[in-house]
Amino acid sequence: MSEEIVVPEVVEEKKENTLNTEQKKVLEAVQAQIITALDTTFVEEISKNNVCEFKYKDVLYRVIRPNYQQKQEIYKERVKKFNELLRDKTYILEKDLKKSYLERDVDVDSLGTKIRQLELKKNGVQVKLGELLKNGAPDDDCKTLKTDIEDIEQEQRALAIEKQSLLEFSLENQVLLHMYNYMTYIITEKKDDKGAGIWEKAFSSFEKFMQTDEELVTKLAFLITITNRDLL
Amino acid sequence: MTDDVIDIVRKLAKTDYYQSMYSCAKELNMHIFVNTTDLTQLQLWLLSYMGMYSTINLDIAMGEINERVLENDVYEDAYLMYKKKQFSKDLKKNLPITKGVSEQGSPQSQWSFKKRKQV
Repeated sequence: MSEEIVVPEVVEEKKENTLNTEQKKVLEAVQAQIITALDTTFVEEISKNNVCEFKYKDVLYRVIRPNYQQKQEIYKERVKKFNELLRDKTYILEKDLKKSYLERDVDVDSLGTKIRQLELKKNGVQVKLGELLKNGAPDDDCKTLKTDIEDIEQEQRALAIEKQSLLEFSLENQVLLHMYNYMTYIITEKKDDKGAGIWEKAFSSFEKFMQTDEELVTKLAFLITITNRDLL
Repeated sequence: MTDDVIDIVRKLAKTDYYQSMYSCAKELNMHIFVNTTDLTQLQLWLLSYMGMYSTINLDIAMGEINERVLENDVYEDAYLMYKKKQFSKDLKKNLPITKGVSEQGSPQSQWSFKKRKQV
C-alpha cells in the first residue's frame, strides 16, 4: 500500500522537474509576452484621450490636462519653491554644485560635451548604415554598424545617468521634483461615489497628497510623466 | 521607464491599424484621438512615430528602400538620418544662385568705388 503511494509521488516529481526545465523558457517568454501585451493595451488606452482614467482600490481616478488657471497655479508654486530653497543654504544651485565637483576633479560639463560628441558620432554611423541599407548591402555589414550604434547609445545612456545622479541634489532638481508632486496634486481627480458621481479633486490638500500611499503616487507619477511632461 | 513607453508607442505606430488611421486622418480629416486639441506628450509621440513609419512605408512602396529597413529600430532611425542628410545635401546643390546675390544670400552692392587718380 505504501509502495503504491510512494511510486506515483516520485514519478510525479520527476515528471514535474522535466516539465519545469523544458517549459521554463517557454513560460518566461509567454509571461514576457503577456506583460508586453498588457503594457501595450494600457498605453494604447491612455493615448486615446488627454484624460486618463484608472481604478485603484475600487476608486476611479483620472489625470487631466491642466487648464489656464491650474497652469498659473503650478507656475506660481514653482517660483515660490525656488525662492524658498534659494534662501535655504542646504541647497546649492546647479552651477555652484558643478564648481564643487570640479574642485574634486569631477567635470560635469564635460559629461554633457561627451554625450553631444557621441551623438554626432552616432549620427555619422547612422548615415553610413542608412546608405548601406539603401544600396542593399549584405546583412553582416549592416549588423556590424547596428552593433556600433547600440554600443554608442549604451555609452550615452551611462553618461546621462552619471550626469543626472551627480546633479540630483541641485536646487533646480529639487524644484523640479516638487513640481512633479505639486502638479500631480493639482491635476488628479477622483469620482465621487455619492450622489451623481461628479469628478472632484482627489486630494483635499497638498499635505494630504504627500501622505497618500506610495503605490498610488507611483501610478500617478508614471501617468503624469508620459502625458504632462511637456508642461514642466 | 519612458524608454519602455516609447518602445510600445513605436510598436503601436508601426501597426497597420495606426498606419491606416494616420492616412485617413490626413486624407479624410478623421480624428485619431478623442481630443482634437491640447494633445498629451504620449499623443505627440504617437503622432510623430506614425508620421515616421508612414514616410518609411511610402519609400518602400516607391521602391526607394527594401523592407529590411523595418527589421529593427536602429535600421529605421539610420535610414531616416541618411534620408535627412541626403535631402539637405540635395537642397544645397539645387539652390539657385541669382545674379547680383552672393553665395551667402546677401545682395551684392551695385556701387563701385575707385581711387582718385593723383595729379
